[in-house]
Amino acid sequence: MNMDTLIPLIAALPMGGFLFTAVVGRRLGKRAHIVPVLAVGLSWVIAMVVVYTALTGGFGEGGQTVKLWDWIPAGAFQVEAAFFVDNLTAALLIVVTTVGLLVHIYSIGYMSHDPGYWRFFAYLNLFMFSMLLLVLGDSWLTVFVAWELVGLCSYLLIGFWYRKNSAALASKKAFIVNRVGDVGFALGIMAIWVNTGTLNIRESIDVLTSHTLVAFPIPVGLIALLIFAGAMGKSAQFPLHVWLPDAMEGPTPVSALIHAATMVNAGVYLVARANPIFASAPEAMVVVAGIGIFTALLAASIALTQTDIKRVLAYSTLSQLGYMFAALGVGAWTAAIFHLMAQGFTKGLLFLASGSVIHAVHDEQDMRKMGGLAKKIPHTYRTMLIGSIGMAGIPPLAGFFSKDEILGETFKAGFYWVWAIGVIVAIMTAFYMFRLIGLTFWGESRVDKAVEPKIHESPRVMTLPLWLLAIPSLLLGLFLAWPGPPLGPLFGQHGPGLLAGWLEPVYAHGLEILGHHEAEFAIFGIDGVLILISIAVATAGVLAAWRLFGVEIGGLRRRGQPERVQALSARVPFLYRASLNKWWFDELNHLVFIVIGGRVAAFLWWFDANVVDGIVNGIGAVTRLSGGGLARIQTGHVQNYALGIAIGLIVMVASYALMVSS
Amino acid sequence: MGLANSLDAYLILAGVLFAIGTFGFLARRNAISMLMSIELMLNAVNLAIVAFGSFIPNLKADGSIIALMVMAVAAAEATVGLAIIIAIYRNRKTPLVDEYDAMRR
Repeated sequence: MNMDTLIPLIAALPMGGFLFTAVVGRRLGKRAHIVPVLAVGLSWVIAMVVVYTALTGGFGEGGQTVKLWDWIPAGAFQVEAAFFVDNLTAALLIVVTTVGLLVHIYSIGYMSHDPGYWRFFAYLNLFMFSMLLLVLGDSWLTVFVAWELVGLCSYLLIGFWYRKNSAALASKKAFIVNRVGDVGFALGIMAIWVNTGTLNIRESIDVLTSHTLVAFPIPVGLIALLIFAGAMGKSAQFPLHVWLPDAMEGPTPVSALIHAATMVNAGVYLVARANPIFASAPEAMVVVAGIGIFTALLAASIALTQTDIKRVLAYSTLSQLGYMFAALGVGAWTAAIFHLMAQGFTKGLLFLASGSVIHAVHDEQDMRKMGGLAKKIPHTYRTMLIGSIGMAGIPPLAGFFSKDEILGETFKAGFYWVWAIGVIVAIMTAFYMFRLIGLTFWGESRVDKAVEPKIHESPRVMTLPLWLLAIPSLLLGLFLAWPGPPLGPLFGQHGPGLLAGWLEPVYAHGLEILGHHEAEFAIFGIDGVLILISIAVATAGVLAAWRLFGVEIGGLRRRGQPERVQALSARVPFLYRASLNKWWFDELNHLVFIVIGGRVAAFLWWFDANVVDGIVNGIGAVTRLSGGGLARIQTGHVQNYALGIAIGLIVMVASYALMVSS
Repeated sequence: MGLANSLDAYLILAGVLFAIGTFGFLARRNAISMLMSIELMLNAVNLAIVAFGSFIPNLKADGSIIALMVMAVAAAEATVGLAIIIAIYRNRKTPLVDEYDAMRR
């Protein structure tokens, strides 16, 4: 089969799985997972074929377009339904399909007792379709449709347990906050059309970035910011970050798939895809970098004190997304995508592992009621430890390479403030990840006495995906960043690592506008120093966490010191309370939108009910009354009408005569 | 000279006849009288047309044809009008139009 059939199949298979499961899933009971998992599995296989073809240069420099049909042929407004695959898409396809497949497999075990089993798989398949459409879409409009579809799936899956009030509220919150960003994105797309007259992504970018002499009706910087607004919503950047932690109300596989590994990365993908637009608007890039690194710092500071295991991971996701945007903002697009891939796998792993922990201790998410789980659930423990080491940024795990690359690039691009904040965030990251491990797996058990004897390792169908995700979390960084043999020549690449080589054609245009020059990598120069700093801060964070929350690795044993933790947090009461209360953003939103906004709405309601309705009803009443009065003229007598006609005629003739005579 | 045997004389006569017809239509309450008034108006117009045809050489043929057509239409109109009046009379037992107030309801 050729690529024209294979590429659409990647997205079509999950759609088929969704339709099938939505129609007959209810009757399949516990076998409802077979078709969806097979669909995603096949989709994965095809995606890998496509990815391999793309990365080995099978599509050439420009990538491969597959046109399906003319979607909207309306005069000057032409939109095609088409797919597009280049190396950036391929990089995303790897993460989306792989994590997607593993999450599907994991869900067979995790959701096995749920009455909504078939519904869950139907939604998951719909999500896979939407996400793949987002990545593969060739026009802004396709991407926007997919953008909304993933938002819908996110809503459906966060509120999967819709009888639980908190879940229903969280799903609504996610949906509404996302709408705020989407308005920006929609406006951005309209602005692109106004400026260029096309919605094809590459064509419009070419027009927007090449004709710099012609003044556009809408400045390119504004378009970049509008697109970034959409990315902020989906990727939960400050101030639209509030929905992501609440999204953890959904089932854990959903958190792993949508709210850690794929959907939240859509914003990063979007900005990376639109890189030449951002490159020609340096002010917008500074905004991106600033918001990104601020989100990273904010979220990391909150993650330090959270007690819900999933919330720690959620804030950590926020923080890492902030890193990615910081990288996008300084023009280190390769580093951002690298971090996206590394985080996709590592975060997916951590969330699935946390789900396994929650499963083991019978739906308890509070880390204060865990502890000492290492020996009882060894597979979960080991895989989660791998993920945490990666997150902390210890070489040679994937998380180290990607984070180091971001920090290094920001430094070399001259954004020293971004780099400095990034280093602080790196310490915090290492600290809170090992706080999580320490509280959950090490030390003495604080599990409920009733649950304690029933703790069990998850079934193999859940531990297998964990191990499969642990492999890329361990090796992906080496694989993608390693410049030399044997990997480079295998893909026909030499130089600065596989990923950089793959993505080079995607970013060439943007980098050209930006005027960046690839600096020679110098292990004994600035790069070496930066790497050492990265390792040093990661180690410092880990050691600090070990000191306070204990450690049990091999012979390395140390008890946690809860008293010292309390003493330390009592010393900075404001910071501690701010972190615990998430810097009061929910309260702020409540005040601004519910209290103040509610007052405004109440006034508007009053205005509507009294003034607007008063005018409308008044007009109605006047019309009715005058109609009643005028009805008397209608006597029903033929001669009255005839008289009217005669008088009218006389008036007409008389006025005509007057006009002629004068 | 005077008015005798001039176009103006015929037109004035036609105007007077038309005015009488209009007055009859508006003032008489009997449906039959109203129909007769309509006939009077039509004939006034017919007279004017024939007068034009007779006094203006260009309109000689046209005037006669139009007059004939008006007569045909007037006959048809009288037939239909009378039929309607008879139908209403059978229904209402009165020829007086101001008691025909069904349009009001």
